[in-house]
Amino acid sequence: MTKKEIFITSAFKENSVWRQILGICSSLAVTNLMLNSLIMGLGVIFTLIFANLTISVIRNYTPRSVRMMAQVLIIASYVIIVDIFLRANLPDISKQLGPYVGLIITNCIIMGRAEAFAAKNNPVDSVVDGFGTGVGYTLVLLTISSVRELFGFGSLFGFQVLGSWWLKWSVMVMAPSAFFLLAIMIWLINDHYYKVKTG
Amino acid sequence: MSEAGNGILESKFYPIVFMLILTIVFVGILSAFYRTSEKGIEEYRQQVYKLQILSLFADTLNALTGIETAELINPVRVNENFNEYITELELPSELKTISTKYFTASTMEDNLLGYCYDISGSGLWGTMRGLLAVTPDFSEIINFAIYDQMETPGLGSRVTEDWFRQQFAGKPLLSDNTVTSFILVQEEAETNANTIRQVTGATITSAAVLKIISSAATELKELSQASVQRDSDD
Repeated sequence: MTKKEIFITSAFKENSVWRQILGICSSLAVTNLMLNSLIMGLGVIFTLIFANLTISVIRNYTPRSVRMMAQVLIIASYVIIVDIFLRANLPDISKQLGPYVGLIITNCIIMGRAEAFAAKNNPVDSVVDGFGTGVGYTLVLLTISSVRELFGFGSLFGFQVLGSWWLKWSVMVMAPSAFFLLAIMIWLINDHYYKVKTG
Repeated sequence: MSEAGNGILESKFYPIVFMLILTIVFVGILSAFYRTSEKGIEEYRQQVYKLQILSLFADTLNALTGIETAELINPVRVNENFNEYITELELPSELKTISTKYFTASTMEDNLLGYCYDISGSGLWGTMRGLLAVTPDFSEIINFAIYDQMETPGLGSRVTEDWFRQQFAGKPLLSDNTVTSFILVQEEAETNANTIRQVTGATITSAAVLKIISSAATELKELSQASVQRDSDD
């Protein structure tokens, strides 16, 4: 596959969230504001790129018996770097994201790409795959958060879009709305793009 | 790969050596990265802490100085306001609930507004840390806040919410040298001078907060009695 094909496959065709239903927990938890989603997405992109790169570089020297232990160690280290960076440079956002930055470690998407792609492919392709997967994940987060922030707060990225006349939908601020929106999104994509037949 | 190389990879000790080297490399990277970011993290922690102390005295300072509350707790001016109105002091080291450092709040004309103590105790899942601001004679709580806790998110962690902490403002702490015993009531119930509305579903955490305040009040009473005794001996 060419680099472009790898990117398109990992970001869209085989998107981790809407196609593989991975990373759902954080997709629901950090989508109340677009800025939070963007920062979370950037954190995941960073972790995916560097975890994939490292795992790919050492793939020929990694003993099979300890490969998953090594992968978790590498992923956890990059997530801790993201966490420290946010705490030092964007403390308010770090506080809003709460435990979810640390929980990137347990995000199945990262472990999934490490095991399914980086452990078997060369470093450049692995970086492209990590970037594509991260972009796909971030797009889902931003799509859900744009609807939730717009209807729940009347704003986008903190900028007031709807005037004071707008009656804020408090349900959009609460967690259940993320369930509804994610389900609608997966349904629409499956129905229009993958043409999934249901019966 | 050469035969010698393959031999090393197949050795039964290789996985152990591999993990050891990988761990050392990544711990080294993390330590170096943390070292470079440590200053920023500590500065932010200090800023939040100072802001919390200022916010406890904000209403009292506003009443005496006329400076807007929002201006007093403006994050941009936090160091300036803190240095102007708050002084950090040391307490004897034998205290259990109260940290050895405490703060006094006073206006520029040296009107003592009260003391603020850094107090701590056990919650449901770990140590809770709070700030208790009291009047100079310890008779009344000026304000209270929990600034660090590990309680259940959405339940016990609600003790940090404004409605819970603001209940303590204006409540008696020591009257006639007796520590006030607060009683927990339902979240929706009416309150009086001795009752505190608990967080629904977090009775243990709510009770733990009362215990921390009560222990601090007992230690403050002993400190104040010891200080009176010292003065009379002199």
